[in-house]
Amino acid sequence: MLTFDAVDKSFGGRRVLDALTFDVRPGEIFGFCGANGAGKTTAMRIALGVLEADSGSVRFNGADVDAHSRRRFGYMPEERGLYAKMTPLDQLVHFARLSGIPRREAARRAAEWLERLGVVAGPRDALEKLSLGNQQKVQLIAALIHDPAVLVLDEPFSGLDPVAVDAMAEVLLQSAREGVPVVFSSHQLELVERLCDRVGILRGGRLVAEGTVDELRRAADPGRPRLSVTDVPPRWADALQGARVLAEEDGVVTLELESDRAAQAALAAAQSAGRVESFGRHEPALADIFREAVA
Amino acid sequence: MNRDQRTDLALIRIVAAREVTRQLRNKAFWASVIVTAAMLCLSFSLTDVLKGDGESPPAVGVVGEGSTVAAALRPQVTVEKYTDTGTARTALRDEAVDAVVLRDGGVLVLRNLSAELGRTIQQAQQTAEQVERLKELGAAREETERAIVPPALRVSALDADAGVVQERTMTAGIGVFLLFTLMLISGLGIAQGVAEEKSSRIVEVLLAKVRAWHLLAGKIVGLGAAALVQIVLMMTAVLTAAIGFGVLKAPLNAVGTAANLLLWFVPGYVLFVTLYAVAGALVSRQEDVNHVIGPVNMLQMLSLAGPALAVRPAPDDALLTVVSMTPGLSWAAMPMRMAVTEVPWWQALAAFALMLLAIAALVRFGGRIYRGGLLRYGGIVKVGEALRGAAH
Repeated sequence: MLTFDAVDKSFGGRRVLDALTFDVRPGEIFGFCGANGAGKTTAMRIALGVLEADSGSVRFNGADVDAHSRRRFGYMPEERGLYAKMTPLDQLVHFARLSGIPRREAARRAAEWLERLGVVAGPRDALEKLSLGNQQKVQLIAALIHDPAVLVLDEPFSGLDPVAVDAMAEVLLQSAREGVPVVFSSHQLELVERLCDRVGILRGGRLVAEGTVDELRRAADPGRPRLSVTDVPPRWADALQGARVLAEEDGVVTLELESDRAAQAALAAAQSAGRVESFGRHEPALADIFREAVA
Repeated sequence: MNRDQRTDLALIRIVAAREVTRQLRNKAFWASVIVTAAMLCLSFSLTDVLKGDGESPPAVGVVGEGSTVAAALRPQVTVEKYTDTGTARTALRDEAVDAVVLRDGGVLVLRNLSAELGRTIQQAQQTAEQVERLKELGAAREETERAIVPPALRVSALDADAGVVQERTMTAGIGVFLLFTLMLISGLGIAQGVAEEKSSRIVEVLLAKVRAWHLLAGKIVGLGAAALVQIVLMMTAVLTAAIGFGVLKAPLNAVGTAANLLLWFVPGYVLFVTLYAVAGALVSRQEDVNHVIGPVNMLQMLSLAGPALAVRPAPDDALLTVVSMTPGLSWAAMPMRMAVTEVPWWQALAAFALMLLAIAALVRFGGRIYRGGLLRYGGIVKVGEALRGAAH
């Protein structure tokens, strides 16, 4: 289990992380969300030892993360970093060896991963000759090639086409199935909603919301009741008290009601005037929860 | 050695191996070795050719069999004998000889007679006259022969080793120039390499796997090993050419000087390359590398002051002693001074120890700047800012 415990970090008097605390359990995919500058990248850099925390600690399986345990981490930084003039194979072997994998085994794994993720490159092609998508895949392989015990990925999906997104998502799910704690940051909230077991929303260096997507939904403002109705005469809703027309498409009128009393009245009117398509409270998407949390 | 130390060494070796491979696969690396070695070998061969023309003894034709003049000339010049004047004239026109001494003592030349050759012929004719007179007076054969070929002069030189010292000085001078150039190229390479890793953000991936000092040490060792390959290849080619063309009369002395120079170069290299790496960590874009390596370049240029002081007519003074013991300058000054003159052993030892101490301090202090500079972006990072960054 990867644990952030009361991690503080300031840059020149500006507090970037404020007692940041959360866990990522084995086999769990944790989505790390927050507006730009919320502290996501700083938190990840601290976990990887690229930066040091002012106070607090990052632990792996109960022990403070040190140089040894970090070598078992897989890390994909927000700003991609690879050697432009080296072939993908050579640099993957280099990164694997820095994580303690013997040269021959590193070469075998690199070739296997390149094939698995369908990286298109000639054997002598330098990385700079590859498309950006393929370069991104190589960056992901660099994080995975040493079979990491923890995966920390900063914006792994940015700039990928839908096919590459699916390939990367599958790799993360596979890692989680193997018991690896996976934490990734992303602004693509529909992906976070689709992939993550739990989500943390960061604001001003503090975790302002944390839990499964369902837990977050339940905790969020349930929103106003909504009613969709068909086969009603034109301008039927004008006579209703406390109702606002949200949409009118293909004969379906969708209303937002300002109170439960107005909702009950509108429902009764709809049942007598036409056919009710749906009635209930609007379930907020993660994007709505996010907007509310960071507002 | 414990597990941590083994891991440290393994990581440094992997970083170093990448640098060595990168250098050895670089065409410019091999081109610089070949071009430099070829230029120096060519200069030796030209020296040999020019020296060969200038020093070959002149040839003088003598008309008449059994001429005493011919015998008197032989120790000084190449002598060709001709039976008649016609043959001698032909040889003169063909430039087989520079002058012809005729039977009547006259001298025949194609255009003009050089003053030196004129004096030689004149002395030979005087000797021949004296020998003829001795023969008339009934002198023994040994006496006449001694008159023709006088016993060799017994010469005692006050500075008998001057030639050897000159060769050592020449070897050290060429060596310092080569190593200075290599240090400059390697330094620029390491600064650009560090800046490349920083600007392309590879450093973030690397620092998640290794510590900053692993990176720094690996780069220094790797580029140092590649530079050593270059140096050994160049020096072998140059020394072989110098010995082959006869430029060196005491080759062992020259090899010894080269080895001593190499010994002093290693700490000098570590010192300067560390400075170049630290400078590279302060920039955010590769284009800015030239701005930050300026001061390091200047310091490196200063290290040529020692060799310049050492080749003055009276080199053994206090200024040279101080320069040759100053870390950063001693790598070039001390081996040059040792090639030119006798250096007290304690001074050499102290200079080496001071250099090692300076390296230890620089690696510690520079390593902090390097670490702090690597993850700070935006123009050129100030040293103080990098040091503060390293503290976090």
